[in-house]
Formats: sequence, structure tokens, C-alpha cells
Amino acid sequence: MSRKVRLTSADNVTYEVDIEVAEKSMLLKNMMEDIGDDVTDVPVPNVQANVLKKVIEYCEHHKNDPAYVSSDEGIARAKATEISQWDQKFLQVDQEMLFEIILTANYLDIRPLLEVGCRTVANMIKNKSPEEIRKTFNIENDFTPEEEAQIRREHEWAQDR
Amino acid sequence: MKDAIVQARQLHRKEKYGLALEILRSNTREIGARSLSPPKYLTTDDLYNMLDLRADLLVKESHLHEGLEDATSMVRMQPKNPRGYLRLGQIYLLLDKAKEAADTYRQALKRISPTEDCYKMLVNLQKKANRKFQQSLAMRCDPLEKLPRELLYLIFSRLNLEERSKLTLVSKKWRVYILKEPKFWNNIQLRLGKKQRVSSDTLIEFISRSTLPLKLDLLDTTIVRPERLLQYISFNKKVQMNYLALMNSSSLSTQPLMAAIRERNAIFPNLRVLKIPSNALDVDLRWCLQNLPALETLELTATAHCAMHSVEQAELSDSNLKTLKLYGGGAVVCVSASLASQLSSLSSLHSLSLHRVIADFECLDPVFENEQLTEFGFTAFGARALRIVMPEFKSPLLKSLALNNVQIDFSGWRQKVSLEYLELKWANLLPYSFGDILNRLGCEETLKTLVAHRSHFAWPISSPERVLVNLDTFQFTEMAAVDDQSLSWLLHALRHVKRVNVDSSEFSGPALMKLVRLGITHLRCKECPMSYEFLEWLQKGTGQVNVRY
Repeated sequence: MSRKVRLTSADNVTYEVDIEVAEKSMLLKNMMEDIGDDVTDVPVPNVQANVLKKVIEYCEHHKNDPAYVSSDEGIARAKATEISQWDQKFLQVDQEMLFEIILTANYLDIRPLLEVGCRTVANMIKNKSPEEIRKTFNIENDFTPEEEAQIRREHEWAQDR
Repeated sequence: MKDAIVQARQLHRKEKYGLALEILRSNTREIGARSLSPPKYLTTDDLYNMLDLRADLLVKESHLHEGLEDATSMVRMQPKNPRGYLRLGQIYLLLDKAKEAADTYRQALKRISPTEDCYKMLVNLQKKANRKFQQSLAMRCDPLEKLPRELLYLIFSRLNLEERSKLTLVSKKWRVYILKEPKFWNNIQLRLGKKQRVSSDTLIEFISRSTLPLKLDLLDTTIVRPERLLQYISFNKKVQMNYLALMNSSSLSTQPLMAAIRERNAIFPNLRVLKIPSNALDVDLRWCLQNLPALETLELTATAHCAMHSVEQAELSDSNLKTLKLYGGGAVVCVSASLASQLSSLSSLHSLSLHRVIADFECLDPVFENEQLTEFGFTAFGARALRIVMPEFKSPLLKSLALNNVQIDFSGWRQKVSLEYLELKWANLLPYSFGDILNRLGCEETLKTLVAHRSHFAWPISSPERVLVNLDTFQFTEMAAVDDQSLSWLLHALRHVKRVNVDSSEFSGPALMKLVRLGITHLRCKECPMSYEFLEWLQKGTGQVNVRY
């Protein structure tokens, strides 16, 4: 039996997880190391229960992954579209939640989750027209038709591709 | 059946929905959701009521999609009866399809007279559904509103220049963000290919946004009116450029860039990397070394026949150049006999490559004095391998050597080099054998990668004394047949190799099998004359070996 720790969200919901799961977060790992072996309760302020639950789900699934090695930036970018099926499904959530997950991954320092979250958002932008991007994120087009035409002319070289 | 409907309705009143649904379903199975004409013993109204009841029960037992079908049938049966719309709208709302629900209510309002009781209710429902739809839209949110700058950078830096510049059209906020983030514009890399053109003005606009030293990489991109770009980057003091690559731009090759840079006497105090075409290599080389104090990497691609005679030793000595590549791209570089010794004086040079070169190494033995040299590459130009005397290297650090399209004379060579990488392509190495060469170079113990392609070697009669203990990668492509004797020599020498590539070489199936038994992990053997046995053996599984054939 592996050791358990209890993670408590900002809104006071507690989740009990294996210590390896909690240690996927570098922040929690360092925190628990600082406190010592007998730690059983770890508060996770700043994170709401619904988000914490999702993030724990991710860590549970990836708990046996090898430790994250920060890859060369160039390589990381080349592979920008490769997201495992499980991760893809995991991140099929509304945008509010997706951004919350990214924020939490950043705060808890879970690099692979941050990476995959940013990739997912980048993929939502890639190969789309400005109009499609507006639709995707519900952004209002606040250019006047004249302004838009002007900018379009500047970017003709990129449009034709 | 009528009885069943009555019974179900009674159960429905008693809130025994599960049971009611069971009775109703088992008795009305033949009335599919889509069949709109009632059976003989039911009136149209009876059927309509039955569908309503069944839809309600299906919803209560959370079979929403089946319920949806019944409700749709109701609307089709009696388009003026509000009950169908109410039921359908309710199910859409439960399915989180607020837009469809709102549409359903809108449709109902068109068909139903305002005097009917439920009209007001429908108006309210439509408003409610619309609100819900707006809320679901609000669930989509602008990442620029939600995420802090450093995380936005992580996302947007994954997009290339074209994608990013397109984003300036999304909204004013996006435009400002994209244009004002200098990190996006310090590394401008465009690889549009020759058919795509980009105007100098567009590039200047990008460049004007960068704040840090700029990396401008426009390999293979056609630039309209490149002189404008050049003028901008050479005279604008604000632009601190540290990387400029403009190779193969078709409009640039007709208008030699280096000549323009020379004429304008541009000053780039921070330029560390320069990769451009040139039609006067010797002049350009000298100019670069004298005028670009920070230059570390220089790649000049010849666009016209270039003879290099006039580089004078004294002028080259105090540069910081680490990498120099002179490449006969569209043309051939003719290197004068004394060039080698002249390049020798580049004291900080780490890597020197001369490709597609005609040089008369034959009549002198060149000595490369550069003390820091770790890489040397040479590719002779011509249909027949060029005879060269093996050059001498003063650097104790030499690790990588490529001698391509040459015939090497080792007769006067006495040096030993601890090479890790050796490349011999299109080389005629007769009368030397493979082992001879490694032995003469003295790199049998250090060599990690050996690349041979379309080269000719002699094969030794006896087995080698030494195994290549550090050799990890062995590439032996488009090579002629290897007989049994030579194979056993190879197998002995290659005992520690992990990666083997013998594409298009004449290795037979049994020979390949023997190779695999060495314990390699990766084997490439495309277009090898493979035997059936070998294929069969491959299909049985080769354990840990990763085979591409």
C-alpha cells in the first residue's frame, strides 16, 4: 500500500490520493518534502474542487509516466499536434475549464499537463480563419469593415497559403 | 392496446414511471416513433396523446433521445398543437441544446395564435432558452481574458509567423497583443518557398516590432524588392541583428546581396550568423571577416563561378569565426592551391566545410593549422573522384571528418586523429581497405559513426586485429556486393554496433541475418536483395530490433 495524502481545495473539498499522484505536481512534491515524512494533509488553496478533481484525474492516469524532462524547445514545437488519445479526451471540456486546468497546471507546476493544455489551445487556433477563431472563442469582431480590409491587405502573403 | 395506455396513464399519475413505461413500451412497440398514421383501433388524437405520454415517461426515465423522437413526431403530426413544441423544447433543454430549444419555441409562436392560453408561456420559454444559449456562448471565452501573459506566450509561441500575423485580424485586443509582444518578432523565420513572395515592407513591419537582437531567417523565401529590406536593416540603428539567413531566395540570387551589403557599407556589430548567397566568395569572405566583428558562423553559397585566390593571410587572422561553410550552390567554387594554408590562419575556427569545390590538393600537402578545429568537411566537384593528398591537421580536437568524392593518398601521412565521425561518400579508396584507413587515421578506438556511400574499398584477407569498440552507427549505403570473407571481417569489426543502415547495398538475406545477430537495435535495409528466408525470419519477429525494409 502506498502512502496517501489528502488534498484540500480552496472550497474545502478533500480528495485522498496516493503520494505518487500528488508528487506529479512539483509544487506539492517540494512542499511535502519540506514538511517531512509524516505529512497527510496538504491544502491546495487557489484551486477550486471541480478543477482539482480534473487535475487529480490527470495525475492518476499519468502516475507511472517517467519523470518529465523538459524537451528542447524546437522539438517540443515540432510535435505540437501530437496529443495522446486519453489526453485529448481528458481535455474535451468547456473552455472555462480548459483555461482553469492550464492555470492550475502552471500553479501546481505539472509541466506535462501545462504542455498538453497549451498545445490543445494552440491547436484550436491553428489552420483557422480569423472568423473561425472569433467563433471558437466567442470574440466580437470590433474592426470596422475599412480597418479590416486595410489589415487584410497587409497580410495578403499569409492569407493565400 | 387502449387498455395498456389507460393503465400506463394511471401508473403515471401514481408516479410509477418505470412500470408505466414498461407497460406502454411492450404494448406499443409496433407504433414506432416515426409512424404517424394510427393503427385502426386508435384515433389520431389517441396516438398523439400516447406519444406525449410515452415521451414524458422516456424523459422521466432519462431515455432522452428516444423521447426526442416521439416529441418530433408529435410536432409533425399536429403542427398547430402547442403540446408537441412544449415537449420537444423541454427535451432539447434537458439535452443542453439551448439553441435548438429556442428555435423550437420560435417555430411554435409562428404557428399558434396569440389568443391561445399557452402563448405567453411559450414566449417566456423562448426567452429562457435564449438566455441559456447566450450563457453557453459565454462558456466560450477569450484566452486573452483568462490567461496571464506568460501562459499566452506558451500557447502563441507554438504558432508560426504566418499563423500569428493572421491573428492580428481577430480583434483589436488580439491585434495589440500579438503586435506588442516583442518576443514574437525577435525570431523571424519564413520558409515560404520560391513561389511564395513576401514584400520587403511586410518584413520591415515585422522587424520594426522586435526589441531584442533579431534573428532573421528567410531561407528559400522570395522577397519582393529585397534592397528595401536590406537598406532598412543596415541603416536602422534600432535593429540589432544577430542572425541573417537569406539563402536561395531567387530574387536575391539575381541581385547579389553581399555586393549590396558591401556597397552600402552596412554595419552589423552584433551579427553572429550570416548565411547568404555570394557571387565573389573571396571578396565577400574578406569583407565579412573585416567588417563583422561578432561573426561566428558564415555560410556563403556561390551563385557564380568563384575562384578564391586573393584572400590574404594577414587579413583573416584575428576574427572570431567558429564555423565557415563555403558551398558551391548554383556554381562551383574553385579553390586555389594555397587556400588551405590561408584558411589555416583562422585561429578560432571550429568547423570548416568546403562543398562542391574544385581544388588542387594534389600537388601540395595542405596543413590545417587551426588549433581549435573539431570538424572538417570537403566535397569535391566533378564526375570522377578528385585525387587529394590527405591533409594534415594541427588541431588535437578534430572529431569529425568528411571527405567526399575524393581519392585519398595516404602515402605521406603520419598523423593520428581521434575521430568520432567519419564520412566517406563517393570516395575511391582503393587500394586501401576499410581497416587500413581506420588504422592509418588511428581512430579505431574512438570512432562512433562511420558513413560510407557509393564508395570503393579493398577488402582485407585476414580478420581485423581490432574491434571498433565505440562504433555505434554504421551506414553503408549503395555499396557493392560484400563477399563472405569480407563479411566475416565486417562482422568481427562491428561487434559493438547498435545502428546499421545498409539501404540499397548488396547485402544478401543471410548476410543481413548475421548482421542482426550482432545485437544491433536498429536496422535499415531498404532495396537490399532479400531472400525469402530473411523476410520470413523478419516476420517471425526480430525481438528488440527495429527494422525498416
